[in-house]
Amino acid sequence: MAKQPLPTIACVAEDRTEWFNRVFTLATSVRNLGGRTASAPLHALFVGSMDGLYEVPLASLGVVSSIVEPWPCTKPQANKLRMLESPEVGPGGVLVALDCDVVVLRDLTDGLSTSAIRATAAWESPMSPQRWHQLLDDVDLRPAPGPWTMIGTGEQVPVPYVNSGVLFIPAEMVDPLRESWAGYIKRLDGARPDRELVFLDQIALALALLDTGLPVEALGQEWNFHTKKDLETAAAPPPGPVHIAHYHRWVDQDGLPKPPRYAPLVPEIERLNAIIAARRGMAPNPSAAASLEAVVQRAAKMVQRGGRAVRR
Amino acid sequence: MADDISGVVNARPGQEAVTACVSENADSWSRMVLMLAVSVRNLGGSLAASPLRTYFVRGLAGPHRELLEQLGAEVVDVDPFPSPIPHANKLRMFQDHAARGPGTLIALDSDIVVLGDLAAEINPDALRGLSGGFSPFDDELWGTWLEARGLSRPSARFRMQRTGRLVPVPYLCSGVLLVPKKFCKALADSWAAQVLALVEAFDAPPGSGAGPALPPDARFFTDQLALTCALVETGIPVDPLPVGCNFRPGLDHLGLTGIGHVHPLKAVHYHRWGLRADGFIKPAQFLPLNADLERVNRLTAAHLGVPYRPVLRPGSPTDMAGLRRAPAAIGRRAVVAVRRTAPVLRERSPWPRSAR
Repeated sequence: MAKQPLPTIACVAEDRTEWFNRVFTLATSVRNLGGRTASAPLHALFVGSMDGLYEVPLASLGVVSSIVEPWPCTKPQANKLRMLESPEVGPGGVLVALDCDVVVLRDLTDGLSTSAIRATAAWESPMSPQRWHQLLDDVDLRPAPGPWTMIGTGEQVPVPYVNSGVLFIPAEMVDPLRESWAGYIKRLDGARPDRELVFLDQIALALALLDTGLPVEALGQEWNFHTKKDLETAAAPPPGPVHIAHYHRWVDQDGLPKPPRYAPLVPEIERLNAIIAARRGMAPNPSAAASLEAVVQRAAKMVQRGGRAVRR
Repeated sequence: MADDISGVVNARPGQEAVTACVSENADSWSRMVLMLAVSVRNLGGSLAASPLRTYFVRGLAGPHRELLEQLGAEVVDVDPFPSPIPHANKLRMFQDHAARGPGTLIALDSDIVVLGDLAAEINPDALRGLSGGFSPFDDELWGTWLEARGLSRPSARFRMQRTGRLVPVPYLCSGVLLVPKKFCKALADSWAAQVLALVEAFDAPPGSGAGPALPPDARFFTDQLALTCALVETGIPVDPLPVGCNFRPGLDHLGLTGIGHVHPLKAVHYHRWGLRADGFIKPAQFLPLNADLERVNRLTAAHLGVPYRPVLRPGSPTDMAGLRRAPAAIGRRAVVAVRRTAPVLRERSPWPRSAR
């Protein structure tokens, strides 16, 4: 039996409560539902600073928290390159670089490879195939051997344009990818129309993958499943069991992932939310909070009565 | 140039660890193991990111296996240890770890939940465990038994947690043991031999000449008595753990140690009688524990997909009545606990009786 690659999981966050909540949610999902990945080293890289309040809850989940410098770029998405610098990934290991707004619902080991970078194609491309060809000419790169099909729109583009929210990178490929990716981010930053550069990190990543010639394999959308999107409109077939759900800003008032539009996934997200609520120590239902309020009111009445009795 | 702000905020303890427990293949046992696994992954600090092995005597099937595997626990099927003492089954985890990869074995009873980072307590040069509550053998019997086994009496003495007495042997509670890899094989081999010798002596008819007569009540503690003999035989250094690493949530324990000595709490040994009828952990008399116990209960319920009735539901008439009764009940229990512990505290006082 082949030896399973060892994953090292990393994510990058800002020093703000909503970001901490995402990291906490991600870590809780890994530890509780990750299967063989549940015991993987997990690194949270906070950009610029980290509120001391976050340290204990993350440490109790075995998360190693670090503070990193912002990546020198006008787009904050470029900070995710820090993941390719800090955590040490041993030989035979795989860096699992995740956005904070994803949750792990199953064992990840079956999706890992030590011989190729793996990622899911993006939902849609920010540029038409013609614009991609122009860009490739500008940077003097040749198109990919075969087109990449976007998950949502079905359009085909001549580059491995992947969603950078879930990247599986073999240890040996981390350094060459980071150097090339950083180079294209620097080259494109400010040099292209702003509407294209919303996804600067992903465009630069596609160019870096082409330029380095590192092997890239497409994962199905069950490895980076967009919970807000309606699968009725998706070009790709419905996925098998979802391993990683990407909820983006599709969250409720408590910051928990909202039920996805893909019905088979709803019970899984509800179960995860119950686990996260229990871990956070949130009241299990609104009635408990209401009854707490009743106790406070009763206590207030008792104090008032006691006060009157003392005065008498 | 701006100062470099980068750096690790919380480093992992340097010691590699493997957490393990041995369980029977029964629903009530696998439920306890599930709670243990939930606690390790959610509150165990660096243990949350370390291997977790759950050994099941005669295997484990069904939904609990799947739930444990989701939590990243390796489920290992083992045969029972050939002894009439079920506690001796825990030897399986030491035998298996001795033959496997690296790391200090954090060997836990199934009826324990982890609330902190036990890996930070690892001593790479010693076995760590909490001194027992009391020794089932008195000093004289220890001397006779060690002599019968051809073992010499250790020079150090160990204080028992509950009675406060000093005993001439390292008698430990076997519920939480931190055993560096280099000691696992020797310990497992010797412990197994000592279990069998003790069972033979306990079961021998009186006057059969099979060694000194052993008190029948002590038979329940065979695994711990055998552990003591194994530690004496192998000469493995023993470094006692603090109370909070194998905390029995009773007021008597607190009376003995003092609250200041309990923190930080890293593992709670609730024992089987500490479970509610619905399989969740009862609230502890040491109130600061309850938020974490409640958290473990709720997490377990979420994993199982079953409803959970919290211990305290403020506002419900039943619980309010219970709360009103509570101060009186706690007062009564405190008196009992103080009465029990006062003689011990007197004995443990560093000052001579005349100076008090």
